[in-house]
Amino acid sequence: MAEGARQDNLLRGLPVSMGYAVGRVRFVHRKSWSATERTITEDRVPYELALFEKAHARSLRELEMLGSQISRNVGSRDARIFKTHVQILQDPKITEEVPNLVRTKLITAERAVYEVTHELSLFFERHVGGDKARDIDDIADRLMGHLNEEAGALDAPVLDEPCIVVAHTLTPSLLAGADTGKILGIATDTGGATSHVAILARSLQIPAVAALNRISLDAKDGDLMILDGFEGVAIVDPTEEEQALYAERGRRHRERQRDLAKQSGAERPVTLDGKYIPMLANVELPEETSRALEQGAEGVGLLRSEFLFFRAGAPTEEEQFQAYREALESAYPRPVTIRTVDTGGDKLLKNLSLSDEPNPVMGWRSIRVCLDNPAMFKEQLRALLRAGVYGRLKIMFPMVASLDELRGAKKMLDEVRLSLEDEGVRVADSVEVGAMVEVPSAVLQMEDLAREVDFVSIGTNDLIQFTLAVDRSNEKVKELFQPHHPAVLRMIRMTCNAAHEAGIVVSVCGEMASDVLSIVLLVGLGVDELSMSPSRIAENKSFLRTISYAEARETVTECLALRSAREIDELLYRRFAKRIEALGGTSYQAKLRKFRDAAALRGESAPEPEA
Amino acid sequence: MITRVLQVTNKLGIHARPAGMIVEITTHAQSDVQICYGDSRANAKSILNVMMLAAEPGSEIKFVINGPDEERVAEELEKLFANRFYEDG
Repeated sequence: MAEGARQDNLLRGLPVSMGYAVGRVRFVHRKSWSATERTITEDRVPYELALFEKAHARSLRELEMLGSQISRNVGSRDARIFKTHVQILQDPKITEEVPNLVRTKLITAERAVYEVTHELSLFFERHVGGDKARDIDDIADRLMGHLNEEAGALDAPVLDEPCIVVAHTLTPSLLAGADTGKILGIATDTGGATSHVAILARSLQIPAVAALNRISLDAKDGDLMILDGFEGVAIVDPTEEEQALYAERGRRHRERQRDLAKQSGAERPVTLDGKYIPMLANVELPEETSRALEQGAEGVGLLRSEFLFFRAGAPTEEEQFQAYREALESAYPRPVTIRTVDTGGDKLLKNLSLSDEPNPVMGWRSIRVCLDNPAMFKEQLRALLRAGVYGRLKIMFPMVASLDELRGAKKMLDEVRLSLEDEGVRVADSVEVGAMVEVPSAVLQMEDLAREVDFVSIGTNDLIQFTLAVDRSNEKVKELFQPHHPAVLRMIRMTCNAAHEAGIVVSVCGEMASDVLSIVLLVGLGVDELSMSPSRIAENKSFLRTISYAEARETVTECLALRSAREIDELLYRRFAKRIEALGGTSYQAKLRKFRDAAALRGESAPEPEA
Repeated sequence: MITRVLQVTNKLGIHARPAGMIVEITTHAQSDVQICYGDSRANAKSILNVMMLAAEPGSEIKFVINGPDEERVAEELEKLFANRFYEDG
């Protein structure tokens, strides 16, 4: 291929999950009803009908839940509107007419829903009144949304052979439904480092590049592609030289990872002066536990249980029990911290949460959803307590913002324990209970909270976004999302001081725990444990072994005297760049390069590293 | 089979909420229930049908009820209309 054409095939985006991948493109798309094909062949009819049935059931469940919630909180008069929507949804004009159209006109369920509701909406608009038309539109939107979501889950690509998944946008449900073992890499037009798909990719150790803008247009099914999850580069149809180059890089990276894991599997994460900082793994799916331990994790510091809920439909108590048991057994005697369902924000768990809130991140999510849905929440707690028999279980409640919420959750846990005991079911004797620290109010009230839990774990992603009022999914303000902002460091320090005063352990399970320079700060601030993507443990263990606790504390004292995240970053770079460089890890190199690039972009040069 | 002619006496006519209340009665009935307004006649178990009639205040609606529990259904509908769908005051 001509040299001049090369640039067209090389796209730059955001590196969101490290690693190299070379493979054939598999294009995956979510259907969107406005753009979707409208006609289907006869053999697709049962699929479309099943899709409609599921979406319809989900919409109903959602409306009923909303209705009961509103009637509890606001009054039954206001809940009436949801009741009307339930009735409309169950109207034969929808439940019979949509499947009818699918069968007779051979169109997709989405198209059929569109045709039926559009006609109704027009009728109401013309003959009855605009507000009724809006009721219909609202129901149509809800149905369409769930159709899309179901199509996402059901359309989870069947991957016959290893491939690089390319998509405009990927949803967690789509990824959770696929055979992730066959995914060599992920390249998307949209997304960022903290999107849920990125987190999942890191956890599954699949290289991923996001924000490529037009990769879904440039790459076709079956194209050969190179994906560089360190630099954030995707090369479509690479030259032989490029293939050879990346084959070599990949080989070196794998070798190094293997060496590191071998080394650090045996090594303990201790500082030069003997301070032991356990490093645990963040995982999404219980079956990832054993692999994480092989990579040197000293347990699971965060199991994001909501991923069980992303798979087709909500799991039963028994399914949850089996999953938690698997994680606990494979980690034993090491601990497993399981976080109860944490939905909302960018995670948008459609069957539990609502997507149309004006401000979902501060809306009905996490522990709030759980406390409002005691049946669902208790089912999870039952499964947890039953599974606790098989290992060292720690239960963690997310997004705690007040003592009432913590007490409410603990009360339910007690109730569940009592009723299990009444039933004669074996439950774990001692289960540690903790709270996540993600909301500034929890930090400010840490003295009170710490007295009522066995441990706390700081979720840095949310704590940063709530402290700095920066929406981390908004590309326009992402530069303002500064983990090393002096206010964030003070938040962490307050948490550590108050928690230690009460004699409990502080861990960090957010993205900061896996960042090499942040680790210096966290350790120096007094954090006792770190939990991170398993792939980062080996490198970070070896880094920890090059610093001393005294030095980390000193660095923190200096950093807290500085006035901005930039100054703090520069100090960290000056002091640690040489040591990081000497360790030679691929991610370290990328990190240092990124720092220098950012400085260059501002027209400055990076500070001179100290020897 | 029995019929009932009922007058819409609430202020706003048969909008979504009253329609929902009618359908709550009809969908729980074993009887077949038809609703007639002007020239239209429709299945009264469909909230959309009932809403689409857009029966105005002061107008009359005829129900045609046919089945084992037709008397009870007629009674419940009468009560609902007599109480103006419990919405005024």
